Amino acid sequence: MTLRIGIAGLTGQVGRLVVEEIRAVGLTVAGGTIREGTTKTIPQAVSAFTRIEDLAAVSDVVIDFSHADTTAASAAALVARGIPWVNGNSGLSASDEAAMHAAAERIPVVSANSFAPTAVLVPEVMTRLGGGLPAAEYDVEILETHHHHKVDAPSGTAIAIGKLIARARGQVFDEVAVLGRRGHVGPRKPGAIGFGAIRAGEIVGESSVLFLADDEEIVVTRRVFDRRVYATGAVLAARWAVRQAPGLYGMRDVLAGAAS
Amino acid sequence: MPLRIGILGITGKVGGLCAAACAGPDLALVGGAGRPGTAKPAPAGVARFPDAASLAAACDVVIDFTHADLAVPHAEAVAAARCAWVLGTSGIGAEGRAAIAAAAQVVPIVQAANFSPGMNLLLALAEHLARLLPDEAYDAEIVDLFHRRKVDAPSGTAIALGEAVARGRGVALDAVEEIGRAGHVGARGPAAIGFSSLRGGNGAGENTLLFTGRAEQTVLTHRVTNPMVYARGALQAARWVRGRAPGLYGMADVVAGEAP
Repeated sequence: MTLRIGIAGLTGQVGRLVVEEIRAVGLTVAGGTIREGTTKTIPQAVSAFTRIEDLAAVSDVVIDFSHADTTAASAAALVARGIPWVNGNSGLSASDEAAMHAAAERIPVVSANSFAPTAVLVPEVMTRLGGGLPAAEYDVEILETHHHHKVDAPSGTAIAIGKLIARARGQVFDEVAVLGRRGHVGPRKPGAIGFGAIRAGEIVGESSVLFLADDEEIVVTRRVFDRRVYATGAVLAARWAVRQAPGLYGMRDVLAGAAS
Repeated sequence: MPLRIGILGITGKVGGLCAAACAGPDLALVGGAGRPGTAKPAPAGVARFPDAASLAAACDVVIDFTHADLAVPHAEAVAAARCAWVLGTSGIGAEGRAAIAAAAQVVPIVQAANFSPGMNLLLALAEHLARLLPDEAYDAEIVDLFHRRKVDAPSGTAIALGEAVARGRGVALDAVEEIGRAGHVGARGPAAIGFSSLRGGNGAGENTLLFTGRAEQTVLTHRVTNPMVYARGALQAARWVRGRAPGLYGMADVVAGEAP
């Protein structure tokens, strides 16, 4: 019998992709939760429930891309049935966090802001380079490219990477960050972390870190072609979670486990 | 007390760069030795020693970019003089390797095929990524771009990257490599590591590793803009190896030792 995966937040953007991904890898879509009275289209041939308890009753594991405000209800229902929980909701309040931690004492919980496997690993690589290559010799520049609808720059991901590198170099981010150059800005300051932001077309997202020395250059780029990657990672996490002891895990654990 | 450095292969290209890079209050260039009987001149102002034994006797560390057939006499010279050895000579055979292993009982040795600090850090990170990104989901491809005079393909560094990926995946590179595709080669092998070599212009060398998934891609690029990087790396190794316990080390140890 194939693994039955339930989806909390069935009609959301990622929830729909999760349905497709589960089918693509030959597993079973156990069903999904919807908001009572929703007008959104329910994916074909999927049982929809308004209560997470009903979904938990027919699932081996639940992937949750619903909303932070359902956290306590999900935690209670999944713990009651002993069902592993892959939680992709962001913006959890302190009490949501507490509910998730309490649940993790009874069931395996995988929580992540992004389930893209390289979303964790590549910033880690960038940070290790930032720490290992001395700031006096290697200038760091961060370039990100996103679709033309995006309204803020640099991207949150680019800034997060810059902060990690600054910390690895023993710098204070706000003192070294140069967010967008314009006009007679003078020569580059030693130890600066510069940013560039390209907005173009429908590009899903791309981030590069450049380490530039007098005699060598290293560039690390992470590029997303398709939002499906978030669904792929969540299904990978679900398959991994059902084999784990209770505990709170991240994508780092999933990838390390899949590799061993 | 400054580190006393001697350069074996002082009339060679990298030897000359090492002499030029030997600047700073913590370094003292004692002199160099060339192949006995060579007519090539040493760089101006560098003391010429008659042989490796006399040079090693006057130094804390010797840097060696010479020829494989000198590995045995050089190993004997550094061991007799209790002098540390930074060895960049490639193509050393079984007899030379045995002599190096014997010398490593007595003195610390750093041996590497590529002394670029950035490249060595990148090799370690390539292996790390390959271990964690499942090979069935992430295709690994390597591209090297070098000046038009280069005679071999793929580049030694490209092969080193391939070996790092293969190590991370726990496979033998020669079992999965696809080098220089031409003709009806059929679809890509599911866990293949592909190599493409481009030649043209005058660049000092660029090597790129790509991990491509269905929905995302990670790219690591290393570019040498000045061959002085090899000399800089050799001097970094020389500073690092001073005072180490006897043993055979690699550049990975040197760069790891400097990371926080």
